[in-house]
Amino acid sequence: MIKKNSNRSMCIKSACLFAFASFILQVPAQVNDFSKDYTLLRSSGTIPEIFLKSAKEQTQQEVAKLKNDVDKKFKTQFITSNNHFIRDFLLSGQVLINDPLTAYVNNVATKVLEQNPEANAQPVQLFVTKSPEVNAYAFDKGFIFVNIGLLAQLENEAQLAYILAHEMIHINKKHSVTEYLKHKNSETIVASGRAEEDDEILAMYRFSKEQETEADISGLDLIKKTNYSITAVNGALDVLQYSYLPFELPEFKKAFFEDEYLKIPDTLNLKKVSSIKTNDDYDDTKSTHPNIRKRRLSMGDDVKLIPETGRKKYLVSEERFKSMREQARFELCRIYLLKRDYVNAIYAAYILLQKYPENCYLKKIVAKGLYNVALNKSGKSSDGGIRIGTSSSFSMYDYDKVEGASQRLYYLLDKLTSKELNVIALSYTYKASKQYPADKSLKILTDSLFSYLVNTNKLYLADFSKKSIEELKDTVKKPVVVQEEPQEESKYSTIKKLQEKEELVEESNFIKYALVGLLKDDEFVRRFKTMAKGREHEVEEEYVQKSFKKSKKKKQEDNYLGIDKVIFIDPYYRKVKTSGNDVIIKFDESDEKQEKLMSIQTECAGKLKLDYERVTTSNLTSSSMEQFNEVVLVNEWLAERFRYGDDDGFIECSEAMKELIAKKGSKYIALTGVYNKNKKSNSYLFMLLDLETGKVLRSELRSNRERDSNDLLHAYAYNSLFFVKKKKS
Amino acid sequence: MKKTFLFVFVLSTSLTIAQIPGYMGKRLSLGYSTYVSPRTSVLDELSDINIGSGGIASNRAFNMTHCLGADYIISPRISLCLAAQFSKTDLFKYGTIFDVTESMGGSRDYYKIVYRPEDEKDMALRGMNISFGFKFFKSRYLNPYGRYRKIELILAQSAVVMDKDGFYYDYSNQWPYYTNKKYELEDRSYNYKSFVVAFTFGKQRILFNKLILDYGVRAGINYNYVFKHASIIGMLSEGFSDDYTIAGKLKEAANFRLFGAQLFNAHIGLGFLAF
Repeated sequence: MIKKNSNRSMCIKSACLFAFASFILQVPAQVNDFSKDYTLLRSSGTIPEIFLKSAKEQTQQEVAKLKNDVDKKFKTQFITSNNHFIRDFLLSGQVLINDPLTAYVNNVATKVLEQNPEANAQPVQLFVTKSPEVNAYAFDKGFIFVNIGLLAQLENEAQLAYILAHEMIHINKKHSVTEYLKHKNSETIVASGRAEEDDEILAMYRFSKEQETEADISGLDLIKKTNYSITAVNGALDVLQYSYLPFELPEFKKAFFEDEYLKIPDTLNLKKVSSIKTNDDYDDTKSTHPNIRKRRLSMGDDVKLIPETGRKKYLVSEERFKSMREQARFELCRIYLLKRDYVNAIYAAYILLQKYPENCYLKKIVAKGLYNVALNKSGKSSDGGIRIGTSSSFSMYDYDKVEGASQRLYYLLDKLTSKELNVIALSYTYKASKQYPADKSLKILTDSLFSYLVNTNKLYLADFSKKSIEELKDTVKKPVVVQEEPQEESKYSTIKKLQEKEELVEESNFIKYALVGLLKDDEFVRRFKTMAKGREHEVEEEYVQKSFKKSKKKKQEDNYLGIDKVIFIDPYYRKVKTSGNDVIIKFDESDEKQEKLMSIQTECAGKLKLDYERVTTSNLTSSSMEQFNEVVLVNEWLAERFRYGDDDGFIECSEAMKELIAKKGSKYIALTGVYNKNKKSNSYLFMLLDLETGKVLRSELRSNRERDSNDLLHAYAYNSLFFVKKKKS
Repeated sequence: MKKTFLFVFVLSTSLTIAQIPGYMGKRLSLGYSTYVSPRTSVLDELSDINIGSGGIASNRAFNMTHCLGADYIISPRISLCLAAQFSKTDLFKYGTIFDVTESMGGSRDYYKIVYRPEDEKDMALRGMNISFGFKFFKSRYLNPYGRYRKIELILAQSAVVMDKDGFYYDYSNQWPYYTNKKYELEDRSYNYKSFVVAFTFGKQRILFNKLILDYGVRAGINYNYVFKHASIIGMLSEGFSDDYTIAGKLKEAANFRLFGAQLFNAHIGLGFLAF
């Protein structure tokens, strides 16, 4: 018996060990201590095969299976565009690989599929994407992309399970193909970008409302077979209904920016915020989904009638869910900054700072957000540098339209003037910089804010009081006693005293006393003086001189950059054919021409003896994760840079970017792009940027009504690189 | 004149700081072009000279000019062009009868002179032109690829190719009908100079990274025709002539032919990128 028992206990122990090991192996070794700092998620491990497949080969294999299909032409079109879009999207850098969030989402999906093997007829592949939208997408071939924005908003694992079940139904029922065929006569395929994919692009693969309803109902059926909580389904719909709100709604207090001396007037504090609307029966005629009320009704009474006994909100792990969600929220802060949604970034960081008040990453998010809002308030755009010519995508959301607690922050930032915002941003950033002296980006931000204070907002040391209002009031109350005969009080001396008192209490001038504490810091004063070049006041003469400064005529020589080594990234190439309102992308031709352009670049660089390195997705293998992450890093940097357009903005040269620059031996990145329409209209773009500063060193845009012949590309490419290589004499 | 052009060409190229990309680093191209100009009777009828019968060789045909040229890229949009052009066109047919008026000692004599060389060939005009110009590429293109406009100055030098011993007095309307009495043509060179300002719309393409295909259309105005009686710069042109002698008629016909040949041309050429 004992022996049997000992054998049995050994088996149990082995099973436990195995389960434990499996659990451990599922969790990638990325652990964040949120209290001090946060390390951004990166893809790791091996690259899945689906990332490495050529879209062309994949398309050929699938089209071969169509044979004599009735809708072969349109299905071929669908397969081609779908495969290329998915490949571009997978390699864009938005999709995470082997990260804790993706691992967790896959574990939850496994729980759903365990009880619903028929839903796995088309194997499902789940990935998490770096998008702030509260949404998930299903594509043909079993792809489900879950946005970080959604993960940050969820309340529990069961809600995630339901959303995944919903998406699985779309795949199972092949909704994407049927919807495409339904609209085959009027399909407009939008050219997909190479770096980031906007959700507008993803949303082009949309389903009808009937299909959404079917997915809701059938998704619920999948959840019923699991042990997941059914009441969570309602919660999932709540998440979607209130997705436009931040993930939590703590009251925003202006004291967040204040200190002992910096006091924001109460007039800038919104007394009462707008209530959150609870309209779930909104007009959905222009929406991709039925409204929330219809969705709840379509599921009938099941949600209420099915007993909750034995059902749970967590089948994988509550702890992992909370950790995953926290990570998603941290990631969201950065994503908001990249999207130039600064107020949301500040508010999201504010929420997390309530829990992790000493987190360096969060303070940087706030500092960057304030910096960018202050910059845009001043209306300063890039001066002297090469213009990209894009309009700024930043505009602050109207606070009137904001609901809930975050409205206070919107109101505050809207009402603050450029100078006030500059001072508040400087105060916050400087203090953060002092707290984390090793962080270089905070130091750079502080210097930039000093520069704006002096050069744009024309505020100098003399504009700030070294004493607080209270100290000055005391001085006013107790005048200096002078051994003189008492002066007769005149009308004018009385007026003067009254004015002094009024000045002390004038709230609109609160920034005058905002830096009292910081002005006691020698380092602060030294940096201020350095930026002001020793000036205490604005000097009028300088501005008169500047206005008469003649601009020198630029010689051709001034365009020579004298750079010996550059980094090339994969050129962007699109050949399209337009027919009426339809735009059809010639994917295969585009890919061929892209390769050709790459070889032309190589040839031209060789002729010019210009050294180069590539950041490319070509020749990726499963072990090329480092190469993949380089592409992701560069794509994200470029997406952020181009969002700024011609505006000044803080482009961080992260540690990862510095490593890349050191590895490649160059800080200059060259972008090339060609857009060819109907074979007879070309646009060629070349840009050279500095990865450290974000400065555009060279920009060319050439358009003509020509074929994109190889000789034309040679001429353009050689010319572009000539100016990069040539040194000024 | 040739020396002058050569000097300007060398000076321009040497003054150009060779910091221009060119096409894959190559800035000089050498090439051959053919210019084709339609020959119509309209141009013949524009002449107000009563030549007589026969007249200017009026075959409806195309005149061809062969051109050897060199282009040098001096800026991303401008090329300096130097070329030599060779042409040969008919001038007067065999058997052309000229109505000639000669002044002799206060009186005027009227003759009919017939051109009947032994070899029975038509009179021809051989041209050797030198052109100097600039090609301006549109801003959306890169020299030497793309559409361009070219302005050039052509120094046209024409020489009449004829048998000077082929002129005879013509008494075909008198008895006896023909005569072997030779007409002694003044023994001198019958070469004419003019200059043409021409404007070209063209396009260049590069083939195989080495060859340049160039085609376009050109319109030119011959100075002599515009300023009919002027001779501003003797070395460049000689104006037209009111002279009703053979020499005068040859001169006018030659300039007229030149005018017609330069008025409108279409060209196609092939060159190579030298260095």
